[in-house]
Amino acid sequence: MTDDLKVTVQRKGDAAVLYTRGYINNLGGEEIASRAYELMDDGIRVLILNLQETKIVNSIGISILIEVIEKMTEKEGRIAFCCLTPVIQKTFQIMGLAQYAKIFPDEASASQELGLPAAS
Amino acid sequence: MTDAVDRQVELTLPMVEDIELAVIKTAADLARKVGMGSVEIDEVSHAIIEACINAREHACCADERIYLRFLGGITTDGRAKLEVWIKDRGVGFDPSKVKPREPGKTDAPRKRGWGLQIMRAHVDDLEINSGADGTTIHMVKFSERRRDD
Repeated sequence: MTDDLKVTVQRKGDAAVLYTRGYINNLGGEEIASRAYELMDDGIRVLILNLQETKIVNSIGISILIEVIEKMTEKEGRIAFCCLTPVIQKTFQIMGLAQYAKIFPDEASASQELGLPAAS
Repeated sequence: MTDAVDRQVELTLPMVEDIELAVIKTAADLARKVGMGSVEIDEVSHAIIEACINAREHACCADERIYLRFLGGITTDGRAKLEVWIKDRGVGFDPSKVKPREPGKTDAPRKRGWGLQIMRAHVDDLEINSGADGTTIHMVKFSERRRDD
């Protein structure tokens, strides 16, 4: 049984939105990290992770997301999350992820806060 | 206390990558049958996921099996109830020696060790029995709403 995570990227100038689809476990977290690090190496300093199509996470996957946030913070960039289910948002808060990155109800509000063009 | 509509499922599964997805599907199917709401099912599912990955990562059991029992029912005051027992035959651990993590303390490698706190946050009752013959985690989740609400 697998529910491999799919990540798609939409670049918006020097910012990008990562769209996840599926389970954020260790492999899913590593896939997000890999894509995020590629973008950072390419100069991206503002990143939104849109989790609308992700319904389950685990603590290993979230720990990898915290590492991504830390790496972006080292580069003086910003990361935000949007479109979380209530339970994923609660899990993020338990693990303290909400202390490192802002969480928005939708992509439009995240884009506005981070200065990206509005979602199409 | 539950009435006569209790439904029970027992499973033995291999400890393989992503087996927790099969476990939460079984739990969700049963929880829906007894009338539990989607957010409550989502909460207990995330608790089950953490219990399964803890068993897979830390139990070190020779049989590499996870033993599950699910019991769904309705309480006498009309709320849906789901109980789940997750057992491994591993080396066990002392739950009192697992120190709660603090959000924001990211010094540990991979920022790991959140499983028990996540489980406790997502269910109404959590009991851990662990010893030399393995570990059993028993969790209970109730729906907020009564069936008649």
